[in-house]
Amino acid sequence: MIVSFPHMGSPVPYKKIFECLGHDVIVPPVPSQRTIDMGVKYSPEFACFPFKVLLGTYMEAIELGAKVIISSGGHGPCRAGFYSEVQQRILQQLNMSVEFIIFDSPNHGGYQDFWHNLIRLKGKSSWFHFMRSVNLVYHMIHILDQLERQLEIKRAYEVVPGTCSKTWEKIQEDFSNLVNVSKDLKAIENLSKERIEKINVEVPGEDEKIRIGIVGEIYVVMEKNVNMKLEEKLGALGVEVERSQYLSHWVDYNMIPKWIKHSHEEAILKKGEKYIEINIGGHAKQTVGHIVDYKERGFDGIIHLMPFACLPELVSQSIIPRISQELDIPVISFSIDEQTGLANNLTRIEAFVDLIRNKKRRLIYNKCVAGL
Amino acid sequence: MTVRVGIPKGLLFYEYESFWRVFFESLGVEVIFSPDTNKDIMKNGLKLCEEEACLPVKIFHGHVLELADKVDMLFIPRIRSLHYREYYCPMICGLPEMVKNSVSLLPSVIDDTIDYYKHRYYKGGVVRMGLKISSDQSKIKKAYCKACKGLQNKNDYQKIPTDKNEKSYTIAIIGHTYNLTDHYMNMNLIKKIKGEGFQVLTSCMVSCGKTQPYLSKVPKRIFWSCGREILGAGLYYMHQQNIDGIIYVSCFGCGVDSLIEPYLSQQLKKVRPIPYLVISLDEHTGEAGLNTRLEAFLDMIRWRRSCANHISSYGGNLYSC
Repeated sequence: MIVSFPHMGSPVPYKKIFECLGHDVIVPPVPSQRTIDMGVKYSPEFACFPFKVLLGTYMEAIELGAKVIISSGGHGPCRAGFYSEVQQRILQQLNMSVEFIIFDSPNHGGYQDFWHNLIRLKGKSSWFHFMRSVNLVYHMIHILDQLERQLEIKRAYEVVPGTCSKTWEKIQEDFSNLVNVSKDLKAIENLSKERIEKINVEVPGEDEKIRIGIVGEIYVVMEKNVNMKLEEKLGALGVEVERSQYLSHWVDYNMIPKWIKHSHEEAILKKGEKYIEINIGGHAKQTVGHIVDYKERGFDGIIHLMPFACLPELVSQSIIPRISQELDIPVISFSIDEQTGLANNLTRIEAFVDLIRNKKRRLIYNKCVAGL
Repeated sequence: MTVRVGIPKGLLFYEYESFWRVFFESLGVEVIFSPDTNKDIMKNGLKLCEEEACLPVKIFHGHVLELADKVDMLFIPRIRSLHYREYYCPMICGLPEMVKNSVSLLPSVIDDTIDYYKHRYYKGGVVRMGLKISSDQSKIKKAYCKACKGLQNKNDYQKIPTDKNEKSYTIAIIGHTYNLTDHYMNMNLIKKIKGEGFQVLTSCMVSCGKTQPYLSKVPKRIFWSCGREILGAGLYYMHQQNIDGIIYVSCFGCGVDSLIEPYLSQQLKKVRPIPYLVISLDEHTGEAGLNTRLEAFLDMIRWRRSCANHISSYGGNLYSC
């Protein structure tokens, strides 16, 4: 099968698993202005932003010759579960027919479909090989996320701007080209750690450090080409960043049964319970939980990202002013849409960081004065 | 003095009004509804609510504000699911959270959860709501049973005429119940069409039994109750030979409509290409735009029957079916 997949975060793990199973993989171009334009042109008007970007990505993948698109589904109440049905039809109308393999959670009565999809994905390789590939990629996702987190912190203090981003590219390349079996993982991980060690940094005192957490809907938080490369922008301003969504968290929460491993997300959901009682779909509850979590861990500010017209995030957005007040933590919301002009958002980000910095300085100043 | 419970006239109110009225009245409280939507309510709602939210949610905020200082308790249930394997839209699931954080100085809110999919019964949630008013469990259960009876009586659907009428025209209007019933929001759409001498059928008239055969053919099960209702009605009317046209009433920012509507319009093209109009309601109150579109649409339907020569002036056959 010539398979393709939508972008969300680093494409390496997705590419790896399909390659391991013996499929030809087409990595679609990263979402660009063209992708967004194409997606917007053929999408329903009020569809949410990820829908449009995904449609554009699929179209670009089909142009490159993809025959099968593999993606994840859902079962409500968020719209994402119904994406593929509509996208399939839109592509059909455009004479760009392509086969979709959508992995829905088997817990909601779709065992047969899930099983069927799994067999298709397995292809001609043996079950032993299949399990080995899944295992390899599972560990790879965890290692990649750990490395990325280290870089997100280091990026704030790099001496030569852009070193961290370049290192990240190299690390991804290494993992993509050099890792074929689980044994390789350790060596490449060490190599990557060395690369990260080599980056020159000037770390300021603890009082000067600023930590910002990025929360929100998973797609816009994880896909940096859609969210204005927010992490890099913040890093350039000297801010340590942590995202609320990593692929490893998503996999642990959605794919590993609870009796095997309790995921980090459960604790987060518990923290959000005070503000949103039930799971209303999407990542609304996680968003709220993460804000509480970041506050507890001493972060200085939160950036909330949501796609335009995202239903669950709208609910969390309306709660955020209250949380911000109760917990005394600055929160800023960005609604991401097809408008790619940066100046406006950049100004807001800069102002937000300045605000946090000044707030922190004043606190320290007050403490000093009190100490005297 | 009796406790006054306020029920805002928005969203699911139109479907379950009788149930809650009977339930609360049996508990011995005074039920106060907000007035029909008017200009002030809409204006207040727009001011209070997040700007990206959909129009009915905005209007709901206005209704809440209208009631806030007149009642002792506000009734805004958190309805997640009312049927097996189905949900409501995320905004309705999170409605109490939205309202409580956007409208200040609210009286106490009855905001318990009804989640049929998870718990497989309604009674628990309803009884919990009752407990906020009275501590007498048996009284609450009695009130619940009484309210249920009222709901069952209401549920016998009207008979839908299916024979083709040569003289008059029949139009199916589909959309969320709150879009079709709130006459301020939809600018008296149904009345206007009826005034032109058309017969109007709405999506609320179609029972589950009728839509089921069509919905079961949809490849992926639709997980929104409202979406199922709309799409089911759309597909049902599409297959009825006496329907001359379909109007889809959507509203600004509706997430469910954004994906259901393209699906339906495509199906319509494939199965039976009859005139189809999508009306997207928003906070504009100027009626001229809507009137013009409506008139053009109705004219098209009339002319189709009276002078359709099936020869289009351009390209392929435009509307022969």
